Amino acid sequence: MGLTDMDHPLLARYAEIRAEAAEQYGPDSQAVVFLLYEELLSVRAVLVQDRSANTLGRRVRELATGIQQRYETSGMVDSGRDHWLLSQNPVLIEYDREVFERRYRAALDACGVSALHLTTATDAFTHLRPGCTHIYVVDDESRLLVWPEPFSLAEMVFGRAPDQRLQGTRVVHPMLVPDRLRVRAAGELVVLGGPADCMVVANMKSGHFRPPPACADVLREVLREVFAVSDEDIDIFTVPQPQL
Amino acid sequence: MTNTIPPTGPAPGGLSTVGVEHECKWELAGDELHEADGLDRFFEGSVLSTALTPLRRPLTFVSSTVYIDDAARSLTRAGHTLGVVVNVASASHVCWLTLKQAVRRHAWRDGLELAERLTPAEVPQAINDEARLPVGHARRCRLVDGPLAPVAVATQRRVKSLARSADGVEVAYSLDLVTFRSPDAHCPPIGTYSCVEVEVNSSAPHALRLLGELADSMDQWLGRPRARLTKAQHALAAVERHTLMETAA
Repeated sequence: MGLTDMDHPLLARYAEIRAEAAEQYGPDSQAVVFLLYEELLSVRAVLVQDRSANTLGRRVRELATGIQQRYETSGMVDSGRDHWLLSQNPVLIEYDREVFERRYRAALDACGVSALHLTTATDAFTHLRPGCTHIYVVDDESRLLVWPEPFSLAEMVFGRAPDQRLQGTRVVHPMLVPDRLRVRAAGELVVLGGPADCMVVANMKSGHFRPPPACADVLREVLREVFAVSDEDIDIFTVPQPQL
Repeated sequence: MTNTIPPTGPAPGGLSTVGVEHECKWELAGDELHEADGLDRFFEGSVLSTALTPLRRPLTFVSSTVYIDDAARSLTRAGHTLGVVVNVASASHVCWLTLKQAVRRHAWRDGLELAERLTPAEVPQAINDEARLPVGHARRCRLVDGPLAPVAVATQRRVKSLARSADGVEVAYSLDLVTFRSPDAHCPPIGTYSCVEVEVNSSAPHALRLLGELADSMDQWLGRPRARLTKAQHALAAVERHTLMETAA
């Protein structure tokens, strides 16, 4: 007989911490959402080492459902002003050139860092930090571009803060595509495992491009190709679209 | 003396908004709501569903508000609300510092609503930063005195609908399920509250006439008078009750 959720030490520990956070901050708090996301990453990191762990596989599916439900009810801030949809199918979103040059060009030029074009899992595990969050875009040529510097734990809990490496300017998604400012998907991703066997957890959190849920299909296809993974090794969380 | 001259130019680095709201509210008892019945169908049969055209399906949002006030709780006691709306999950990187200034209270509440977008990291400094539009306005109007600090927390699940009347007035209405907490660490829920809110964000005479008609009909449909207290007042009362009990214990 396999382990139950409560028997598995990793799941039991997360359940305990999550219960404490829910008690202190509420079951709908960001603390709980953050812990669910962290649990998903931890469980996938273990699962990729031992794919026979059925308890963990089941928990991944539960977590994915729970996180997406929370994303659906977290609201959308507004529709944004500086980007527009060029095409619905396939999705293509463009950021405003004038705004980009005014707000982000100098910081991008000064930082001496640029997005990496990842074409294989080996590429990814050479340049990215497994288990850490990086921002990515899929550009208008369906290339996966990722910012090499991961974000800190605090940034993942409280949102991406001004980045001191860039003189107080946050690294933002348009900085990954400075030439054409066009994307088919954008958000955050985490790679887990290693180049020979890996999993990817991603989302569509981009305040600059506000990718619609349809972008998940684009990203899934690109991840399958770059990482040679199947759909069950990928989680993609979509963000509710601005409503009236 | 506090400078009463309004600020000029844009907010420093932030996005800010200024608007009006005209709002009616009805308090609900906890046992009137049954999640299993589908909260998004709560308004079926009311004038809101029969007299207006929905602009989209009802949406559910979860957010928390940290209420801010001075030591005398001057804002809350006067019916104004200063708070930081904290989002979660996909919107966790965005907070809003908001001031709802009650301008007049009659059949409904006429209010001025100022909001400024913040990152979560900016919140601790922003609540006492007069360069922030909501805080500066509260100071210039002398609604507060002395340092400001968190006084209560409300976490709200809102089922929100948007609809339009035949003559083009947009009406927002919602069902709010709220849990109160103290801003102190390690504080379990100290109270709950549920209400119906109906509001328009236009001061045009025909919009206010419509609000009055809808509110009269909702009085009948819900079978109770309109609520007078703000959520911040309920939250503060819950915190004060909790503090008294803690002290007595």
